[in-house]
This record gives sequence, structure tokens and C-alpha cells, in this order.
Amino acid sequence: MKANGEEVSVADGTKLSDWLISQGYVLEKTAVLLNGVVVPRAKIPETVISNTDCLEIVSFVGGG
Amino acid sequence: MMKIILNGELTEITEETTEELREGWFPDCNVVVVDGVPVTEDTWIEEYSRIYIGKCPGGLTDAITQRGNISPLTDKTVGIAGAGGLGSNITTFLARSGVGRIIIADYDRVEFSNLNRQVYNLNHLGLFKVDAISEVISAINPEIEVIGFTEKLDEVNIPRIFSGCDVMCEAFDDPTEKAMLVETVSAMGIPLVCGSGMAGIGDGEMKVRKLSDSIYVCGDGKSDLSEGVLAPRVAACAGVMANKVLQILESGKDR
Repeated sequence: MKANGEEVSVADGTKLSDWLISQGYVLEKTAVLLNGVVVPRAKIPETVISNTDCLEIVSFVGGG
Repeated sequence: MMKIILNGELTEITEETTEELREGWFPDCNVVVVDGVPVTEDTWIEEYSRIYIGKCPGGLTDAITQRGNISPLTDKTVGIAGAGGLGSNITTFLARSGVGRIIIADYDRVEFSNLNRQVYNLNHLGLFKVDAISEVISAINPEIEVIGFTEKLDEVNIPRIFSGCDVMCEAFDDPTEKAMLVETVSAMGIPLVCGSGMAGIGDGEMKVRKLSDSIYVCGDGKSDLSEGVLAPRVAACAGVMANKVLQILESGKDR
């Protein structure tokens, strides 16, 4: 699949939350778009990703 | 006879009202500003008033924005979530650009610790930020409408407060709230411009990252609160965000 423009490979049935955590993302500070649509944070644990998907991930930093 | 400051010069006048003064001294002008407030009705003049009389053929907003008829932003509404470093600067930039209505929400009051990067001054200490920003904008251009909500924003009140907006800006400082706003606003179908990474005094470039057709994230993406947040980079990020808002409004992609 594509994650932030880079090709990465995931196993079938991979959960989005597991993959994000494995990449070091802190879920509550992260916005995820799956194929152009924002995934509500409550839905991230039940969302399954595959190699045809495209993810855009933002890990927000504090300050404003 | 009385003395006033007329267009910057100490001047002795015999006129007693603003309309007499305009007619007598600058008959081809149409806007009279008395002690910082544009007056629309004939008004008695007080001694030592500071009066500016100027020509604004297209009206005050047109004279301030200097955009002519290129960009009629006066019927646009922009929502700002947060009135701190990002929110106060973005609001100021958009008001100067002629965005007609700004809806802004923040539950905080102005404190000393805000004055290093927010547009407020000592006179605003203790005021709710939304009241302080209304005052700031009114002093720049009273034709810009600022609607303030002194509420802590959450998934429930965001759709109620911001539903009529053409574009929204995320201007929180807490990263968890930033993520919450993306989720909530995307469900409302309103274009959203976020800020992430504007702390410290580094050289990290202020970029615009397009996440989708309607969500943008501005900032260096890295620097965080631990570096301290100072005026130059916050204003730089706010400027990039406000610029993206103008692009969205003027591209006609808004609702």
C-alpha cells in the first residue's frame, strides 16, 4: 500500500491501529485518511488495511 | 474656534460637526474617522479630537484591503477554532484581507504568557480572548463581523458553532485536540486548514501539506512545545494558513 506517498507492504488482515502503533504513531494525536477519507479515531481499531490502500497520516505536534 | 488634530496636523477650526468639517475642508472625501472610529452620522466635534478624513470611493473595506473588485470576500465566513497564537494572527490577517465574517471560539482569557506571540496587548489582560480579538479587529476594520463563542470546543459544539462556515482553521495548541478537529470538521464537509509545527527559532520550512481535496496541514511538521513558541514562527505559520484560506475562498471550491 501507499503510506504518505511511500510504498509499503502489509500482511492481509492487518489492523490499522496495529500498523500505526508499530510505526510509532500515537493514535490520539494522529489524523489518518484512508483512500482520501478521514478515519474517525474510534473506528481505527476495527479498520483493516490491505496492499491496495492509500494512507495519509499526520502526527500532530503541539503549539499554536 | 477649537483645536483638533486633523489628518495629523494640529488645526484650528470653526466647524462644530464632522459633516461641516468634511464639507468645509475635504469635500471630495467620504469617510470621517474620529479617535479611531469611523463615524457614519454627523457628530459633534470635541476639542483635541484626532480626526482623519479620507477618500474611500468603494467604501472602507475596499480602501483597507486594496483588492478592488478582484476578490469579493465580504460575503465569506471563516471559522477559527482557538484564539491563541495561531487563531489571533490568522483572524487579523483574514480581516485585513477583507473576509467579511469570522466565527471564532476559545474559552481562555488573555494572560501575560500570551503576549509573546498573540496579537493582544496589556489593555486586553483578563478579557476573554474572543472579546479581545473582536476589539482588535474592530480597531482595524469595524465592517468585519466577528462572532465569538466562549466555549471549550468538542465534537458536540463544533458542528453547532461552525456549521455556516465556508472554510475552517484549526488553531489549537494541543495535538489531541487538533486530531479531534480534523475528524469532526471532515464529517461536516467544510474545507479545513490545520497548523502543526511552528515552535522554537529554527529554520524549518513552513510547508503546506495537502491531505485531501479539503484538508491542508501547514507548518514545519516537527517543532513542538518543548522548544517554546514565539511570535515569529507562529505568525509565519498563521500567515501560511491564512493564505491557504484565501486560496480556497477565491478558487470557489468552498460551499
